[in-house]
Amino acid sequence: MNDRQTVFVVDDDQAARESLRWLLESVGYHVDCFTSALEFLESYDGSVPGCLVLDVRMPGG
Amino acid sequence: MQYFAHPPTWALLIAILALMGGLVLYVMRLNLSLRYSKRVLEVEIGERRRAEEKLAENENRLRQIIASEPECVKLQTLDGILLEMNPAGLCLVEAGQPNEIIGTSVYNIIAPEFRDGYRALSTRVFAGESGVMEFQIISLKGRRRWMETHAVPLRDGRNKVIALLGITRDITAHKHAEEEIRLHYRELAHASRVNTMGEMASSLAHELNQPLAAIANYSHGCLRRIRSGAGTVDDLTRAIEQVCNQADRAADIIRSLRRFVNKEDSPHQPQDLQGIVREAMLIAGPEANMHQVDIRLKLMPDMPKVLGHAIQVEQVILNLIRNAVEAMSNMPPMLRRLELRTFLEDDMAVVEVRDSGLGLPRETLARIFDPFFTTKSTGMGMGLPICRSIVEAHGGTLSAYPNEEGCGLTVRFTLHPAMEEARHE
Repeated sequence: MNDRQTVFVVDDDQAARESLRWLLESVGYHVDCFTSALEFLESYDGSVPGCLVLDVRMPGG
Repeated sequence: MQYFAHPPTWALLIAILALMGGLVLYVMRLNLSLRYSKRVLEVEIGERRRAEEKLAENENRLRQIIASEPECVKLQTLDGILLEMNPAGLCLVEAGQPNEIIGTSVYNIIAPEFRDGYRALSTRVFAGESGVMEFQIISLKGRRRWMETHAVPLRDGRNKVIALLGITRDITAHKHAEEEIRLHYRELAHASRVNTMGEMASSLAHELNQPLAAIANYSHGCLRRIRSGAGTVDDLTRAIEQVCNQADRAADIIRSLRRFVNKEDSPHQPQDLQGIVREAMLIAGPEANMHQVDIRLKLMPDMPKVLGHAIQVEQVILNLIRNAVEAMSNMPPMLRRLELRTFLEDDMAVVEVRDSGLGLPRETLARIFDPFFTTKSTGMGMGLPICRSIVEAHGGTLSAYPNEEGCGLTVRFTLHPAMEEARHE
């Protein structure tokens, strides 16, 4: 697997976030977690290819 | 006849005659005055007789009034010995003859759990106060009845309390009616809770899905690592700990829900208000999250316990939170703010829910507690009326008014701190 492939997890629920990281890492992805959409947008520079797993209807949306 | 001719004899005779004449006059006067006195006496005797007749008539009238009085009228001593009781009273205690009860102690018929309270009332009455008390008796035929008695001191001419005068009526039917209403109201409150749960099913399902999804993720992650031999024991242990935590979290949610829709009330007793708010937040929080409402809790530290039924109080809080969340659904998410405060004011515990919605026009605000009045497209209009009956049954008040700042609404209710109650009893 290509370790540059990153899954971005955005979820305000810590358990959902951390459990997804644990699961996705078991398949070999690199995982970046964010607690809100804003936090993700602020840190994402658009150059890293990847997949976004996004919770719906989070506070601060 | 020289005898009469002798002058001193004449003189003596004349004197005697004069004396006799005087005597006759005196006796006549005495007679007159006696006759007068007799007349006066006769008049007085007549008056007294009339007065006595009148008194007897008055007493008879009073006795008749007391005898025909439909409520129990009784006199008793400080120790509770019955001195007198009217026929209505005898009927109330199911005594066939007055002598079955007169001269015995009232404590023989007062139900044991009310004896101390009644003793306290008697003591107060003999100290010159009057009082009202509700209690149960067990009649001579063994039937339990609810009584309400008004007790006042009966005083003699020198203002000394000589007996307790009690007017007592049977309030059993009234008590049963009250109980009936209480049961109906409990059923209504329960139906409303079940209804609320139905309305919240989707947000609650989402809330329950969170820990379950986390458990699935952790478990699958563990399996993959075990099968590939990649996971260290430490990593796997941490993941399984998380599985346990999330299972507990799911169980907590389910426990809260089951408790909330339970038909049985929690007992009426001192309750931890913070705990109730937390329980309400466990159920209402997910929905508020879904609606992107920012909830701020400002709970007073060291808040005394409040007196009430935990589930019913939780129901009110949950209702107020849901109303506030709904009231803000047309606001931009950034402006959806809900503040839940608890504090003490005028010796009452206050729970206040403030939203940042658009508020309500004055005429609407005046009607929000009316049954079947609703501003929602899918509402029954029973939420706030039920909340109000719950709060009022707890001896508090529920009110709503526009925010002092901004345009939202503040809804607040009060509850008795448990200390208060202890002092009253």
